[in-house]
Amino acid sequence: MEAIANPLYFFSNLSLNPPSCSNVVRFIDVLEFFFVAHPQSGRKEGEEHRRVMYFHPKGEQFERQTEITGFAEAVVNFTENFLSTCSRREIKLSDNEDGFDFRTVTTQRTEHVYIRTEDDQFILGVSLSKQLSQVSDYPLFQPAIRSILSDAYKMFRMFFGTFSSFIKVVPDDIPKFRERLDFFFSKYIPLLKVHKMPLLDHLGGVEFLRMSGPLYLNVVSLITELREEFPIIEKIMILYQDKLLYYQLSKRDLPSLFRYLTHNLLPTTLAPELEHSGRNTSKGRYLRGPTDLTTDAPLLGDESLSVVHLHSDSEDLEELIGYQMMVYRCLNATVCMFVRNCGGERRDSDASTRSSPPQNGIVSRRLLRNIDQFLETELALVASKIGDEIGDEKFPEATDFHYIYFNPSSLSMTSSLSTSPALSVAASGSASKVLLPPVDVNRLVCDTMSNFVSETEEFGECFVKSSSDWWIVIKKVNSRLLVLILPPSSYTSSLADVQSKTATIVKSHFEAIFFS
Amino acid sequence: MEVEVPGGSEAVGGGGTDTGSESSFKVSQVEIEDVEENLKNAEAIFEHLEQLPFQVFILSEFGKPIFVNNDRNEGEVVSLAALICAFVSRCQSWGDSLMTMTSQDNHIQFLHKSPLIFCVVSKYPEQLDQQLEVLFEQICSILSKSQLENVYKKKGDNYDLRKLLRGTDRLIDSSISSWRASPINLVDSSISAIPMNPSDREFLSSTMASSMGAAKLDGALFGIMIAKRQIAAIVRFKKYVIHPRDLNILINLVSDTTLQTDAQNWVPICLPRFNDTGFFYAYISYPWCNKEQDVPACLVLLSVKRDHFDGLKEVRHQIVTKLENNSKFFTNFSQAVKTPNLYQISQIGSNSESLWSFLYLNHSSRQVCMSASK
Repeated sequence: MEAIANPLYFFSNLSLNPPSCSNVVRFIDVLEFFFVAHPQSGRKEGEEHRRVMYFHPKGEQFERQTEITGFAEAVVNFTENFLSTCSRREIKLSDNEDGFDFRTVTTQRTEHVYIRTEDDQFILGVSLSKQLSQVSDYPLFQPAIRSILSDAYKMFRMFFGTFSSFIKVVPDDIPKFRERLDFFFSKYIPLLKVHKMPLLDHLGGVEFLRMSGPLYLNVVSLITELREEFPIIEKIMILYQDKLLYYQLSKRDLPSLFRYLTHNLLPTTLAPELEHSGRNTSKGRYLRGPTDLTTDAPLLGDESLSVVHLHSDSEDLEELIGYQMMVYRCLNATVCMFVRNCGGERRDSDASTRSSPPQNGIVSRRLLRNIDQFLETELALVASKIGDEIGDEKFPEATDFHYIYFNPSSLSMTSSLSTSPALSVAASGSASKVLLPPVDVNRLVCDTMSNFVSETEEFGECFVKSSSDWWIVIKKVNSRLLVLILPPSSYTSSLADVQSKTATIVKSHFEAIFFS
Repeated sequence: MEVEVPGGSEAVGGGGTDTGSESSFKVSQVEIEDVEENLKNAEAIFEHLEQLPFQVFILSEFGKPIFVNNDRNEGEVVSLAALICAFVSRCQSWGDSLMTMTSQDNHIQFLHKSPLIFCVVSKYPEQLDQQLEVLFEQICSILSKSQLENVYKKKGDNYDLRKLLRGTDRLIDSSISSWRASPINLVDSSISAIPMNPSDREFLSSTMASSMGAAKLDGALFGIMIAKRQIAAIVRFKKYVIHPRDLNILINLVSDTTLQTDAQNWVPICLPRFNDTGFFYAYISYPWCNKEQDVPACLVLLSVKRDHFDGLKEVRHQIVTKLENNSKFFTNFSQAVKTPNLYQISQIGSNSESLWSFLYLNHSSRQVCMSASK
């Protein structure tokens, strides 16, 4: 126990550990350190510590921060020696698909992952403690840690733009960069929860709501009308509870936005809604932004809308554009609208690097008022229809197995093992009456994925039996992935039993989305 | 004297014979083909090096290179070794120890066994830790662990261990290349037995046992017949067991072609799993090598006594004579050793179309057998 870098974590973790039946773990409970480094800033002898832009835990000694970031930089350079030229080219290619160049280091006590971003100028690193992860029943799976790290970066980038935008303009901006990193990550990291089934974090899909054709048409026409009415809205996304209904924005931004909404923004709004549930529930409202729409006062300070940086619609453009985000919620339905930002909050110098054409005005109270008037009736209509349809199948038969389904082309993911905090109770569409799989089964699923299921193959099938008699079935058809986790039972004593059980499950639960 | 009969009792059925088990195992490693022809220029050589399945670095914990199996230039090796050493000691200073690093397509494994540091770079992650352990034991077999530990204390941190290991690079090399040929032996530190008729194996083992027993040499503990990097028979005294890892070191030693003459060799060797501070004396002979028979079998007799050479020479004579006198056995044996049969799928009683290959590991004897693939 004395080997823990910061004993405070260990103690705090003991008292605040989520109950063991939960399927998520607080990231901070397994975290040893997290950093953002800019090696270029620490080139001068004696000033190496300047490369550290952000370091968690904050109380860590300067010397150790420097050591850790220096180690990471050295690992990156050392492993470079063994990269063949052809794989270097591959890395450049995969870079475009948002896969970051990465390194991992395993020591006896920790698991490190480093990623390089923005033309290899920045290194983000994270280290998880093996001991703490054991205490938390969290299996360490490097691809998942990598995804968690990349997601953290993408989330920052979404709110504040690229790292280089801070560095590029004036070197003086470094203190401001540090301040922004601190502002963001000091909140992000403590709130971050990761799945005990790490594969979920690795796949990082979004959950769509399954609905009937006519209903889907209703949603689409609502969005179309809305955009027709308000052409200033460039991108849009609509959710019901914590599930996605429809979106019109780049797929590269979808997971981050979805996660922000379902994990951060929506849960915080749920409590007030429950409080006021007695009166006027069909009244829609904006989350964030101004509360008073009756005046025409400019939106300043607390009332101003958040700005997010999103990719342009053409998939090959890396450029990020600032958008003002309006989030409107009514009867469990949430519409997220994006209007191109010009000036506004980003009057500061770094905004000039992301030039945005000044054709659109920024969001005013008047616009908000108009959209409110439109959505108040239209959205309420659609939302209550959805509510009726969901309500009809309120209690779908509970399954006697666990599953993960992921379609990489739509990013659609459903799983009996995922929950988004707070909303999960309401959205119990995927109940399973089986106990959560034990940690060794979760680990086995990850190991099987990385050792026996090729990422590039579009088809594959794999059956694995754990030593505790759970069965794991992995099917890949047309790149769509289905992972079934079957608890020990007398119906699954042989491989043939499991195969027929799998066939039954696919037929009854996944036929519509998964052709066996 | 106890007789161990490897291979179990299954008889080897007829059917397609295979030329040597190693070549017929399809192993998922990069094959190096037509090396000389393809390498026309320096860049091609560099490219080729990157394709090498294993790049191994052995250095002292003070950063001095001891062994590398690639053709990087001296300067590059020295700086890489310095880095490896720095990584290891940095982690040590954190009260931790470095195990692996990975990048997009490389897996790097580290092993720090004071006073040495081992590092391997590979495209494949499997069993790299075991492979480095094997290398460490390989070095111990030459120097013994206690000698190794004392060397730097006596000669100072900057001592060049290569002076003591002179000429043994090829043993390390062949150990590394055997990973490619029969990784399965490493996987669970197991040994594989060369397929033989059970009755023949019985005769071979009992002949070896009786000859060793009759000689009454106190300290002569093991007798092993090896062919094609596989075991034909082991005899041992009841109290003593030889670990599969140690057997693999012996196998590696006797597979060294410079030993393979009809002369006899008397080689001191440390078997670290048996005792990492002392030495065995191995009487190694290839009784039927370079004669008209050319049977690639090797007889190893191990004793802890330095002066057993003549005694073991006599034992060897006894064994060889007895074996040769049983002409039926000897014909079968030569056949089995020269062109070993691989285990057939049909031998495990299933003719199922979907069964392609099988692998059997006996946990108590650490014996492994693997079928030919369909």
